[in-house]
Amino acid sequence: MNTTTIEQELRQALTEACQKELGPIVLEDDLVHELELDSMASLRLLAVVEKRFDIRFPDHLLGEYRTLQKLVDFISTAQEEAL
Amino acid sequence: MKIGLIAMSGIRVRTPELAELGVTLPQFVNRGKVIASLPSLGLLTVAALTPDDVEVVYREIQDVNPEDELELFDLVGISSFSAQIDEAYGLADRYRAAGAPVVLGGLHVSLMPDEALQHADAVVLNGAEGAWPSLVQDFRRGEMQPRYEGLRSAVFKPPSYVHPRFDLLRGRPYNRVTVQTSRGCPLNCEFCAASLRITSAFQQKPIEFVIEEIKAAVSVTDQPFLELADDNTFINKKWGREFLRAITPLGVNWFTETDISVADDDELLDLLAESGCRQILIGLESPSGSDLGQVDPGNWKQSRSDRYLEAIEKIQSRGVSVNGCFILGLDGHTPDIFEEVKAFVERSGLLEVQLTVMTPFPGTPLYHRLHSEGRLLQERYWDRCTLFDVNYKPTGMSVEELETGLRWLFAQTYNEEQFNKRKRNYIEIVKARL
Repeated sequence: MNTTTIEQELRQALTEACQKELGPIVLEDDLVHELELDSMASLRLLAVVEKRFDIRFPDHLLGEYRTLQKLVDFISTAQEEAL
Repeated sequence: MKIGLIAMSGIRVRTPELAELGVTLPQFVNRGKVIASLPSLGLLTVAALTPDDVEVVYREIQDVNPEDELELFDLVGISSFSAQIDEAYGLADRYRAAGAPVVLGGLHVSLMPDEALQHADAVVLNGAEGAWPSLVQDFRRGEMQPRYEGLRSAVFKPPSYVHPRFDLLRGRPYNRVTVQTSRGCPLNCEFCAASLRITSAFQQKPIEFVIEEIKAAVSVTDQPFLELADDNTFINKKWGREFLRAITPLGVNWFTETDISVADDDELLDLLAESGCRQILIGLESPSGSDLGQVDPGNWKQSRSDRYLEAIEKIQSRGVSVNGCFILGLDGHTPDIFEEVKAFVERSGLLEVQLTVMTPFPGTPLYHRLHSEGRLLQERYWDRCTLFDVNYKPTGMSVEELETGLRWLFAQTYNEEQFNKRKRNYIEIVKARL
């Protein structure tokens, strides 16, 4: 899956998880800030991404995946390593 | 006529070592920020009880810069908690010196009215319902009395009941808004300094009032998160199920406090998960039932403690996280309690944990008991009623052991590694439900 496809799927997953359109959010935007997520909503969002892409974020870095770019990069790397 | 209502709330610690530790512990800081950012529901109710022809200005203590000149009002209302009551008295003294009459209210004032009257022209005891309209009327006539007693029963029946003035919060940067669905709690825990002290019995608001209030409260913020300002929301399971069916269509994310019996009702738990409830806070108090004998008069918590783990798992498996609260320094606790709580927290999978020290808030049964047993460390220690500072002699350990143990447990529980473990557990629970 290329990064464009990952980004598209990610946007769709996040839209469903947050139950609202992501709108003009760009790759570098802080999702927690832009979507005004509380701490539990942030965790639920990571759970949705893990399930959708069959990945697992490192426990000690859970707070780091706050932009689309970081999520896309992690998913892309994880999928390459899985091949 | 212009009335200024000034709210004082927040979280603080007096013991320097704990204060220093607190700023480095992520979960402790997070909850502190949440509490500090909650608006004062009591003063929004006071505003709603004020006649329409009176201008009401709502301020929070952060808005009042001690260096600046005081904003002038014809009458000032201040509400605060025990830990900040001396600051409230200081502000009241400044206003009175500037010629503005001051009314003090809130839980501490209700329990210590004579003390409060040394800094106020009048005090409002219990809630504002049944008291504030008379006070304003008397003030206008120049006949304000020193004491006004609000209702202790039938609080949620019109005309005493009014919708709080949530519109006064518009434009302020709140990330949480509060609505109260009930007052009091039949468990009547000895240490509790919450609304049960100002009510004659447990009182529940009609669901249609609650829903109207929630709609009004969430309309003042862009991304509202609702916190129910209750002592125990789900005492009445039938009411609880009806309430959950009513709140679900609103699409609000929310938080509340209740007791462990919420896990007894599968239907209620399913409704809770669907309703947007993200977390419930439960006073577990201690992992072992043998330490819970004196907590509530009916020994209810003691009778439930052997099912804590099962109940937490049952609730969290629905995707609703549990914030488990523990009180350190209960009679019967020895220095072993700190290891016991640490082990319980790890075993339980609780997403969030609240660790506090037993605190004899003035006017509570606990205060009177410890006072009569000669166990209070000082006669007056209100600024140390923070839930984190030790104000009494424990029975099973020394004051120093309690303070040291609390610091150790803070460090063991609120560190990044443990926090991440709890977050991972919650992620796995959510994934299992997707």
